Amino acid sequence: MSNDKKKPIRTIEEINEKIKKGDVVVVTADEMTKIVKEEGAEKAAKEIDVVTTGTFGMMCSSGAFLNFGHSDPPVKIKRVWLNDVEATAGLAAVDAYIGATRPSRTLGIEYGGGHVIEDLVKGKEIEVEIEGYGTDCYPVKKLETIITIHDLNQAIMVNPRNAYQKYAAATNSSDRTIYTYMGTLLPNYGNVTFSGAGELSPLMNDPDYETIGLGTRIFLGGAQGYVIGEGTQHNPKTQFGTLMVKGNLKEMDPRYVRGATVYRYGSSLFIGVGIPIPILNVGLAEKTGISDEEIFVPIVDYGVPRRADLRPVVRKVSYAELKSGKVEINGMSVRTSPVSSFKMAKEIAETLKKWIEQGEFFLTLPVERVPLDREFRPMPLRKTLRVKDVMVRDVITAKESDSIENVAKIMIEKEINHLPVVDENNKLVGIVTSWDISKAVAQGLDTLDKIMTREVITATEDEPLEEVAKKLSKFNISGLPVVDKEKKVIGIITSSDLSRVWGSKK
Amino acid sequence: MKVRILVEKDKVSEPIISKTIYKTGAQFYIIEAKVEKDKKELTVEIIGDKEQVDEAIENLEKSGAKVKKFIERVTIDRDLCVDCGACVSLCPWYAIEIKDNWEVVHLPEKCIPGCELCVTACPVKALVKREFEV
Repeated sequence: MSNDKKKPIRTIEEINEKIKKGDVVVVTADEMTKIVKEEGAEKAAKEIDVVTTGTFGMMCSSGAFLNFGHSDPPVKIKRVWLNDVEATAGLAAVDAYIGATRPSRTLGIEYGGGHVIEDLVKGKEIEVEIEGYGTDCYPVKKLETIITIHDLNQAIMVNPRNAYQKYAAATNSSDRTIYTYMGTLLPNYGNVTFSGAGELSPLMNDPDYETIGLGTRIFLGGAQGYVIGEGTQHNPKTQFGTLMVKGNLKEMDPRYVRGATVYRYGSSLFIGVGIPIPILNVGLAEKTGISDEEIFVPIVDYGVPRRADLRPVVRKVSYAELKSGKVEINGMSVRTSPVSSFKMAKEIAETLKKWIEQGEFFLTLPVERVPLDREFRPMPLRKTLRVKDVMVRDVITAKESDSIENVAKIMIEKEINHLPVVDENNKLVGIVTSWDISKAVAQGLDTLDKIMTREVITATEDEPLEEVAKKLSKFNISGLPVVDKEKKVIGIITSSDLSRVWGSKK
Repeated sequence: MKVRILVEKDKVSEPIISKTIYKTGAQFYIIEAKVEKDKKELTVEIIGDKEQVDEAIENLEKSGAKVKKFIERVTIDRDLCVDCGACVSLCPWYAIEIKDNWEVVHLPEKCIPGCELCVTACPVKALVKREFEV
C-alpha cells in the first residue's frame, strides 16, 4: 500500500470529540461496501468516521471467570458444578472458570457450559455444588447452595478465541450423514455449511490489525468489552486471525449470549461480537469496503477423518456464493446453510452504530498490536506410538494360487496367525488367518483363493496405535496388514504386538 | 395416519386392538403405550390403504375407544431462533428458507413431517415438533 493511503486523515481523539458532540458519521460494514463501490475509497474516507462490524456465531472457546465469595466456614474449591456442569477450579479458593463446551454430568451436551452462561446472564437461579479440599484454613469438604449472577463478586467473560476472521466451509463426500461442529453434513456432497459474517466480519475489515489490538473497546454480548490480544490459533497470514476478548458478564444481554447444542457434537455458546473500525486513513476506508465477492474460503471435505488442514479441499468459494444458498460442486448444485447468523451480525453492527451515534460508546486505540506473523501449527505427537514403531517389517506373504497345505506349514514354522495375500507387485489382495485354514481343512478346500478374505481392513505406517486398537476391536479381528499408498504390503501389526508394547509400558 | 387411542374402565381388559387388526387387516405401529389399571393410552400409526384405516378407526370407536387423529408439524419458535440457518440445507422439502433480511422462515405448506432433520440440527432447540388435531 502506498504511503498516501496510510496518511492520517483523522485521529481517535477527533472521532471521540465528534461522538461527544453528536455529529460523528457511522456506517455498518455492509453499508460501507456499497459506499466505497459507488463513491470510491477517498471520498468515503473523507465522509465517514467509523465503520461498525459484527459477528454472531457459536464460539466454543468462550467462558467466564466466576468468583463465588467465601462461605463460613470457608471452602477451597477442588471441584465445582453449576447446574451439574463442572467449572474448572485449580485457581484460588473460590475462583473458577466455566467453559462453554463442558457437558452436564447428568444431561450431557443437551445442557452445557454455554447454557449455564446464558442462564447466569438471564439472572436465573443456579444450583452450585462444591467439593472442597478440606484444609486447616478452608475446612469445608462439601457445600451446596443456590446463586444468581448478582451473588457473584465477579462474572467476567474471557474468551480465548472469538471472531474468526473467516472460516472454511464444510461438506461430506462419504456415503453416510456425519454430525460435525459445522452441523449435520448430508452424504455424497448433500449440503455445504459455512460460518462467519463475511463482509461484516470484524477482522475482515481490518486485516492488518491497524486499529484492532489489546485495549480496543468492542461490543461483546450486548455490553462493552475489550480485545485483550490475539486469540488462540491466531493465523493472520492466511486470513484466519482470531481475538481474545473480555467483558463483564453482569452487564451482558441474553439476546447476544446463547447456549447451544450441536447435535452429536457438543455444547457451545452463541456470542455476539462487534468491533468499530475508525477510518484513520484512506487505506482503512478501502479495506472496510471489502465485499462478500472478495472473501474466499475453501470447502473442506469432512467425510475424510483427518486433521482439519489435511482434509481434502473440494474447491474455493466466495462468501457471496455461499450466501446465495447454493454452490456448485463437481457440476452439481449443492445447497448451503450458514451456521452463524447474518441477521444477528447485522443487528450487532447496527447496535454498535447506534451506541456511537448516541454518545454511549467511545473508541480506543490499541496499546499493543496483535502479532501479524503467527502461524497455527499442529500438535507434535512425540509420545504417541505409531504403527511404524511397532509393526513387523519382514512380513511373510502368500500368493492366491498357493495351496492350503503349504500355507499351513508356513504358519506353523513361523509361528504366525495372519498371512497377507499379495499379487505379483506385492499389492494386497486378501488375507488368510489360521482360523481360515482350519475352516478349509474342515470343508475340504484346497487353494487360498477359496478361503481368503478379500475386503481387508488395513493400517498405514503413520496411524496411532490407538486407531489400530479401535479397528481390531470394531471388526473383531486380531491383525492388520500395513500398506503404503499403492496398497503394497510393507508390514503387519497384530493384537499381540499391541499387548507387547502396552503391557510392558504400564 | 397417526392416532391417539384412549380406552377406559371396563374396556381396558378387552383386546380391542387385536380384534381391529384381525378384522380390518390394517397394521398398527405402536409409537407409545401407557397402560394403567383403568386407563390405556396408545399412540399408534395405522398403516394401510385409506379404507382400511377408516374402517380400523370406526371399529375402534365402536368398541368403546376414543380416537383422536393428529398430524405433527414442525414450527419455529421465534423467541428462541437466532436465525443461524443451520437447518436450511437439511430440509428435503425445501421448507425452510432464508429471506432477504437473513431471517430464517419455515414454510408449513411445504413441510412433510417425519424426517425432523431440522429439529435435531437446531442448536438452540427453536424448531419444535407440535401436534395438531385433525
